[in-house]
Amino acid sequence: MTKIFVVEDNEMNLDMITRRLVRSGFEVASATSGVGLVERLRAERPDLVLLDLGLPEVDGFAVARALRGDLQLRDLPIIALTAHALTTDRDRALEAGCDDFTTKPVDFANLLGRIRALLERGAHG
Amino acid sequence: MSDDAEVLRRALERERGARKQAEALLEQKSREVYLKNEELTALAGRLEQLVRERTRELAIARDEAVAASRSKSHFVANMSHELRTPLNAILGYSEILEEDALAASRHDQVADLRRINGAGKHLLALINDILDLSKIEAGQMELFYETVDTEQLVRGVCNTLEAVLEKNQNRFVLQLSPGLGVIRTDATKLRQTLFNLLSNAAKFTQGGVVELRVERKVDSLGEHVLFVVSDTGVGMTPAQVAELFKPFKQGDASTARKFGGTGLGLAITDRFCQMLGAALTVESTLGAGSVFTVRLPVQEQRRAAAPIARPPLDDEAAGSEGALGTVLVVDDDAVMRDVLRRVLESEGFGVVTATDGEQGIERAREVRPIAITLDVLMPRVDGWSMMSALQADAELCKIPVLVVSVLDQRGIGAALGARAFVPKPIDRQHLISALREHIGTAGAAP
Repeated sequence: MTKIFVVEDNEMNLDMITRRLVRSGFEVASATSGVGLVERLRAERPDLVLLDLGLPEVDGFAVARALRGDLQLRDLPIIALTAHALTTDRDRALEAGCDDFTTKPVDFANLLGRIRALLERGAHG
Repeated sequence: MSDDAEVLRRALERERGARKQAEALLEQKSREVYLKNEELTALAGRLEQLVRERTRELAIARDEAVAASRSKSHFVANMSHELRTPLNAILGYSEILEEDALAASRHDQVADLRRINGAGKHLLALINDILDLSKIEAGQMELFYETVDTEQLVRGVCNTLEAVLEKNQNRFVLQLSPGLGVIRTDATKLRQTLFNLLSNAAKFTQGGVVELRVERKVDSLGEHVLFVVSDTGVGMTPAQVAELFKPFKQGDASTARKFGGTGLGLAITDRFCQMLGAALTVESTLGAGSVFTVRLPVQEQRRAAAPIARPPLDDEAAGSEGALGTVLVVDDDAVMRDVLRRVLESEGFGVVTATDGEQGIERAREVRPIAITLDVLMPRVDGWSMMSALQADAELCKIPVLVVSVLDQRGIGAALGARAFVPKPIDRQHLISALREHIGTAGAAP
């Protein structure tokens, strides 16, 4: 089963996304902060990460850069979730190493499309 | 003889009386003049004191206004973030419940849950639009220029529109002229502009045709890409067209109920076009449909990063000749200077420009313009400071000043001596009629 790791500090958003991903047939693991995330991801070995950019303590940009610098995790697809529909956030997310981004509130059908496209690209590439 | 002497004596008496009366009158008048003079001196002193106080009050009011405007946009940005977070939950959970209800064949609940979701999405669109608009008004909406393939961008927008176009059973026609090439622009804002115009066209057309025609043209104004969105929908009356780009104004009160939407889409689209240096125009016939045209210059219009790379816009700061006299345009935004120049020149005025208050004063001294259009929010020496400096100069204070600003601050403007207030975005007719009205009274300034 394809495993998606969700990093989101808002519990309600996390619950919502998790339930909807599970219903769509994914296995889901999650964290509410970026602290210690690299170790968690090394252990969980997910197929894709959904990463909230506005995390407390360690923000999403720093997490993305850390993952890209990690030998085991550098090819792990990352979709950034951003609360502000800001072009600067989008550019910064891609610069930090995210593969794609979507703005919150999440349009779930759109997110599923992005997830599938990235997983497919990974499977073929 | 004695009679003669008597006549002479009487005449002398009369004259003496008259002279005494005149002397008394003179003395009285001198005293009055002296008193008036005293009064005037006191008044002048009081007046100077009042002017000093008023100037100080205005400086404080100006600082407060600038600070208030800043904290307002900060507040709006924060508030919309705070509003979006719970809305996220409302939208997401209503979708989860809708999926549950669908799976359990509870169609009555599905309909209600869709209503909740629809209302939530409408609220979200409103919040997003208000945030956009407040950013534009506060001058915080930034442009990110990139080189984009015109055809690719247009096709991308059309793909995301399919659902909207299908909803009202409209036929969509895309006409792309060959050789559209690449343009340097803010792709996100251009996309949103086209998306807004096309989804509007689709919304107000039922079982008709929505068309997007794109062509690249060179004419007297330079090289442009034209995006023409036309529909065979409900169309608009001239009165509706006139209100079209104002925030929260839809066709009429029933339009929002019937067609939905925030009423902010076109206001934002119009402002985006201005930021991109593009002109948005509309033609419409009630019952027959509307045509919206975006005329986007191929050359980047916004100020460039390095001064050397400045677009030719500013080379014209030296000025142009106009039959009706020269107007000084003071604005730190190159696009606004260009817009004002074009409008004024097309009406027969000559134009010189300045980028801030300090330069504005210099240019005003050099060219003695017949009028000045003045932006308020500028770096270094702002509009209000420039107004004060103009008023303090015996010659320059006679030049009528039109304050052109996104901030509606007629009060301060009038107190500082501005003759008229013209809101941004510029309404051509408003600007020209204000200008015409005030150049006539230039010499007779109080």
